[in-house]
Amino acid sequence: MDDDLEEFREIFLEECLENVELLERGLMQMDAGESTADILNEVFRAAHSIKGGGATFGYQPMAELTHFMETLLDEMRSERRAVVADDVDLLLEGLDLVQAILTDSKEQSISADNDGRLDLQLRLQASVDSAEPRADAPEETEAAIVVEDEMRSWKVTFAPFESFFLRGNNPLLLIRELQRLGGCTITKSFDKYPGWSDFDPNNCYLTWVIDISSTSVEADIREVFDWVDTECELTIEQIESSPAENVAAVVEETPEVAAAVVAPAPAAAPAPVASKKPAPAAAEKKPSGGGADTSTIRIATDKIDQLIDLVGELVITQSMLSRVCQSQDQIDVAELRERMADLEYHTRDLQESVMQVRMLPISSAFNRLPRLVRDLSKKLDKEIDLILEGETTELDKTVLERMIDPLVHLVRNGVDHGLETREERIASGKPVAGQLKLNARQESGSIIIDITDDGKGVNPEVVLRKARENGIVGDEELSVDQINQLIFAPGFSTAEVVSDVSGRGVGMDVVRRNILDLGGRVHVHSTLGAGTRVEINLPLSLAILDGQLVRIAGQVYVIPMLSIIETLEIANTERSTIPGTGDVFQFRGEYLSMLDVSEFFCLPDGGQGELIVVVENHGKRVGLVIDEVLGQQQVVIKSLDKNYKNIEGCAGATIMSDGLVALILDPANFNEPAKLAAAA
Amino acid sequence: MLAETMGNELPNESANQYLTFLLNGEEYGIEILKVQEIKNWGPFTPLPRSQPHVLGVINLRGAIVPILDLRAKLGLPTTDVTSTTAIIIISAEFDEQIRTLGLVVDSVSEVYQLLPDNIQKTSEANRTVDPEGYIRAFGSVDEKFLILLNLEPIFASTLQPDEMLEAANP
Repeated sequence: MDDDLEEFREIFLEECLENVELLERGLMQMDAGESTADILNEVFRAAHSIKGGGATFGYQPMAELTHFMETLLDEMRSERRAVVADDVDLLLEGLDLVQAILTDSKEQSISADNDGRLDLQLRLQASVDSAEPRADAPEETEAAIVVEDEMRSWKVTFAPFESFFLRGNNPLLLIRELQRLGGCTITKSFDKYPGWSDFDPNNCYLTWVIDISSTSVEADIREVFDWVDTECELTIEQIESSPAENVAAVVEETPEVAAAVVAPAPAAAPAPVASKKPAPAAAEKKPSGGGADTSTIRIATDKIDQLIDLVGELVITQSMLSRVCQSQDQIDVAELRERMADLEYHTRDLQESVMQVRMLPISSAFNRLPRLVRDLSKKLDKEIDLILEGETTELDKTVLERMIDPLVHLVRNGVDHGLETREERIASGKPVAGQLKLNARQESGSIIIDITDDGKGVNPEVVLRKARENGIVGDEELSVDQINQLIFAPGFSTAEVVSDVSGRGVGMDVVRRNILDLGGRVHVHSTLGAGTRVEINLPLSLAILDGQLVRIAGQVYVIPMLSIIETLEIANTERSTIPGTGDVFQFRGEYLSMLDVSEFFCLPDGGQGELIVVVENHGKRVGLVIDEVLGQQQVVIKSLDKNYKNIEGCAGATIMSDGLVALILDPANFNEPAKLAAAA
Repeated sequence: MLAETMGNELPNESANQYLTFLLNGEEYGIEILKVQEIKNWGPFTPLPRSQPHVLGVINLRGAIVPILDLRAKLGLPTTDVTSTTAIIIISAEFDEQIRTLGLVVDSVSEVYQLLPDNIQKTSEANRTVDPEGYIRAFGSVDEKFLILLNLEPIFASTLQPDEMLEAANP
């Protein structure tokens, strides 16, 4: 039972997050002045779903807050008030709080600021009350408000179906919600109780009759039962003239009455318990997950249908193949080849379709940026045109989730450091509004995201001076390109003032770390005075990578294609030995250090070392010495630490076509040769 | 943990059953509930910078499984691979995860049922010859003498991250 409820809770939280996204998108459109009826309706529906679900699952603060937001939205929707920027600001603020509450409940922590919420609710209410009625507002508004203020009495008969508890519903929460509308007198009925012999503790046999006196209209009461309307019989009748004086006295008792009603039936236990249980349950879950994300993914049904079709095809091909192999006479080689070709074709299709399941459009990450840029533009008083391109580009879900923070950081950085103030822009003859462009696209086996601004660009002199001051680099000469990459160094910051927007010199380092962890690369291109472009290069998927097979000391290894820059013949390079740092070689006018993989791995046979593969390692280039370059192949990444442990210099392992295991090298994870020498 | 959960469903005797194998002429036993399968000797991929007893990894139906030279782990002399050499695939919990490991043995022998009376726990004195505690107990069946292995320290010394191992034996 607990698991069931937990499952529903998770679905509810997922849905809430989706609705929050919808709300945000809608509000941003409203903010931009596009307040069509469709948008308003969508926003209203999203707020309404959050509220309804929140009440059912016992997230009282969230339900309360969204109630106020909904009221304001309803006024806008029914054209009783104009959409004004202040109200949108209030709603956005509310949205942030809802998000905070949701995050809290997902992580079972409580950090959302309750006073802030109450304060915001008051401000929302004040905004509703202040009612700047539209000049053309429908006439009946006035009348409707008057009617709403009148006290009315309702008789609500609430008869849940027997299966009510099985769906994870809790009648107590519904009754409490009802009490919030006004004073209630609650009577229970055991009419449906079948006697002990037929009693099933999982079933609900209770019926409640609730007399409620409130200013609410029937729709308000019906709304409380919105989530369970298919799981109960509900009748709502209006009763004439209410004994209003008695109500107050009854209210005091009701919580106990309601609780007492629920308590006697053992069946009711699961539901109330649920409000206490989730915490330990979730706590137990964490360690077994081993820190891995156990998030869910929503898949379009047609994608699943396609998978089922493909598996069907595969089964047919397999049975054809076995028929060919089982034939009594000579095996028909031509047919066998044909079937094998079919098998290959279906397998590849299936692989592609399965990978598709994990792919999500990058728009889900881009969608948060308009809001961020809007807030930043207000805070920093800069006018900004945000341009998003290639929003339909698809990325692996894990990659996407882990790219959100880096993207937010880069956008923030671009707005804060890249784009100039209005005055500076006018002085340098640029348009007043700064431009920030994000472009996502797929290029061969990788995804490229460009973040371009037309701001002042990176000043290499300032960067070099700051980097020397902070001791990040010594006095050596660096090319402009090398200097530009210094902005990713840990502890680097050029901002004179540390603001809460950026400037602590932590962010860019983390950005690069995150991207490297995903097996990607990041590079800065900049022209002083004309702007900066940050280019992020990401693998399409975390499960499969394009690999270059190489031989080192008789063993086959895989090097990710994405990290390879060039392969050179060792005989054709200019090499020299520098005491203390080991061998270096010349590559495009730069001296790069050489790392002998067989030495690094302490392989017994040692390699002949014929070739150098130039790879990127922590933003620096390094030459890996190998024996032979073999083919290129897509490989499935398997973790080594599932049954063993991580090995320095290895990103994992894969299984080759001969069934043997090959290790995947991780150029970003090779130690500096100097450190290695010290260890050896 | 594995043994406990399965023990509830199976007849009690499974819990007392041991798979035995030969190493350097002696017969060793491990709890049968931790044995997943037995594989023939085959090619494997060596791992860089591994401890001497970690031979490498094999592909077990898509999973990467390390195989250990049990002779090396127990300090026995090395020997050549023969036609009886086998890999016993063990599945057991370590560090809150079920891990699968292969143990390379000279040959697989029998499955015995050992009653508690036939098992003699190792004494403190044994610690001097077996400081890591690889030997859990001694068993006897049909006049035969069995060494019952304790898999925990074998798993631990293999799976602990390198830094921790270095810290333990500097």
